[in-house]
Order: sequence, then structure tokens, then C-alpha cells
Amino acid sequence: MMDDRTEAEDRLLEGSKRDFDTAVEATEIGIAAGLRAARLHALEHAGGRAWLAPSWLWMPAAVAAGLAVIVLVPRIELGGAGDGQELAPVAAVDLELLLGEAEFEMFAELEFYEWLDMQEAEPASDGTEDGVG
Amino acid sequence: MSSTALINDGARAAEDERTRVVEADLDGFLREVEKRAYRIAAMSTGDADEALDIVQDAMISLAKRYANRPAEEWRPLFYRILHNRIRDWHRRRRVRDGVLRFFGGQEGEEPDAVALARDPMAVVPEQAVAHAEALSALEQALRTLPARQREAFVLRNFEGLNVAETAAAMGCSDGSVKTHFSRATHRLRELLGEYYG
Repeated sequence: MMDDRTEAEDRLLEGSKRDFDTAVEATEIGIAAGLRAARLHALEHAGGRAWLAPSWLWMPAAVAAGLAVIVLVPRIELGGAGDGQELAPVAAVDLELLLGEAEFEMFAELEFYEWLDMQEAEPASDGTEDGVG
Repeated sequence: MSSTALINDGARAAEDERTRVVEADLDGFLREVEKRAYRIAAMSTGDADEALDIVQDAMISLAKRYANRPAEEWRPLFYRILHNRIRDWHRRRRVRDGVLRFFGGQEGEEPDAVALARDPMAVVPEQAVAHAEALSALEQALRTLPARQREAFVLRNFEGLNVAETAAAMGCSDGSVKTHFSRATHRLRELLGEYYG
């Protein structure tokens, strides 16, 4: 390891490594079992991460879901309200929200769409609802 | 089945296969280092349960954060995590002991001698006595070293990491590794000359 080592240091390094290796070999059965369990637990984390990490795998599903929203929302609105004039702005807002990667969770948030519908149904705000102005 | 679904399935299958390969490699790596890592942690803490917890934390951290890194980087990364965990343990213990002293309580518990004891059937008895004495002295001597010297000595001598790998594991320069290792070796020779003279 180092050129300027003395023989005494060599004996220390060799002897201590030999004793360390012996201690490793003699690891207690209970400890070895604990280490095995710890390793298997750690590997579960590796598997989970690998499955979740590549976000590009989600993109085809995200695009398909976005298209489904664009197509289905106007039809639902047509069937319910019978007024196609108000449909285009709703679909455009949804598209903008859904194609943003950070808002991906909203695909699963049906409550969000219910809330959005309620906002659309409410009368226009006068701009003073936050207490400013 | 649509082309999008086919592409998705193909990508998922490829990713699953890659995950299986990484997991198999990581399993092999952890299997190789787990007992050595445990012994290092046990030597540093003197506590079997704490050592096991430290090694488990280090394994999980490596798997969570670095499983997708090239396998050749795992060893220095793992030992870096392990030694950080050991250092954290010593810091927490110092704080705890300080609080206990302040309130007049007991300082840290004695190491669990039964759990740390080696299996007497694992080696020939006469060898066991010599090894047990030397190992006990070695463990005590290592605990007297400053943390950085202990880390350099353990990584270079016990784990066989080269200077660059040790520097990566310790997060310092090659020169610092050489200095810490040299000082540790000199100090241990003074303390352990009786056993390794």
C-alpha cells in the first residue's frame, strides 16, 4: 500500500486484517439472518424505485387519458346541458391542466372535475372575494 | 391491442428485465459486503443491535438512491453511506450522553457482550482464544482513533479499497486519505504492538 512502511507496520496490517476476516467468517447465525432480512428489505426498495422512476413510461397513458378527456367531456356536457356553446373553454382548460406533467395526479382526481364544474356553474366573481380591493 | 399499448408493454417488459438484472447484481454486492459492513459497524459502535440497524439503513439508502448507478460505483458509495451512518450514531450518542450526564443519569449502555460474542464452534478453540484477545484489543484501539483515521484504516486495510476509492468513500482528497491512513497505522502500532509486533 505505502512504500515507506516498516516491517512492524506490515505485521500490524496483515495481522489485523487476518483477525478482522476471521471475525467476519465467524459472524453469529442470528446476525447473519438479520443481515439477510435487511438485504431483502433493501432490495424491495430498489425494485420499487425502478418501477416508478422512468416517468416516460407513463407518458403514453397520460396522452391517451388526455385525449379521452378532450373527446368525452364535451359529449357528457352535450348530453347533460344541451348547450354546446360553453364546452370549448372547459375542454381547453382541462387539456392545459392535464398535459402539465406536474398535474399528472389530476387524472385520478375526479373530485377536481366536480369542483371545476361547480366553479363554472357559479356566477362570475366581482374580484373582491380575497378581500383585496 | 393498440400500438401505444404495445409500445408501453414492450417498454415495461424491458424495464422489468433491467430491474431484475439490477436487483440480482445488487443482491450479489450486498451479500458480499454485508457481514464485513456489520463487523465494521460493530467495531465502531460496540453494539450489535445498533450495528445491524446501521447496516440496514446503509443498504436501504444504497438501494433507494443509487441502485441505478453503475455497479462499480456501489462499493465506495456504500461505504460512504455506512461511515456517515456510523458518524451520525456517534453524534447522537454524544448528545444523549451529555443530556444523561446533565440529569445525573447513566451514560451509554454497556455493549451487548452476548450478542457480540463469536460462536465458539465457528473456529478451533485454541485459535479462538488468540483471535478473541487480539480482536478485542483491535476493536478497542480502533475506537480510540479519530473517526477519519478509523475510516481510512478500515477502508484501506480491511476492505482493500485503493486510495482513490477510499477518497470517494470518505469524501476527501487522496492526500488526506494517505495522511489519515498513515497516522492511524502509526497509532495502532503503538497500541497493538503486543499483538502484532
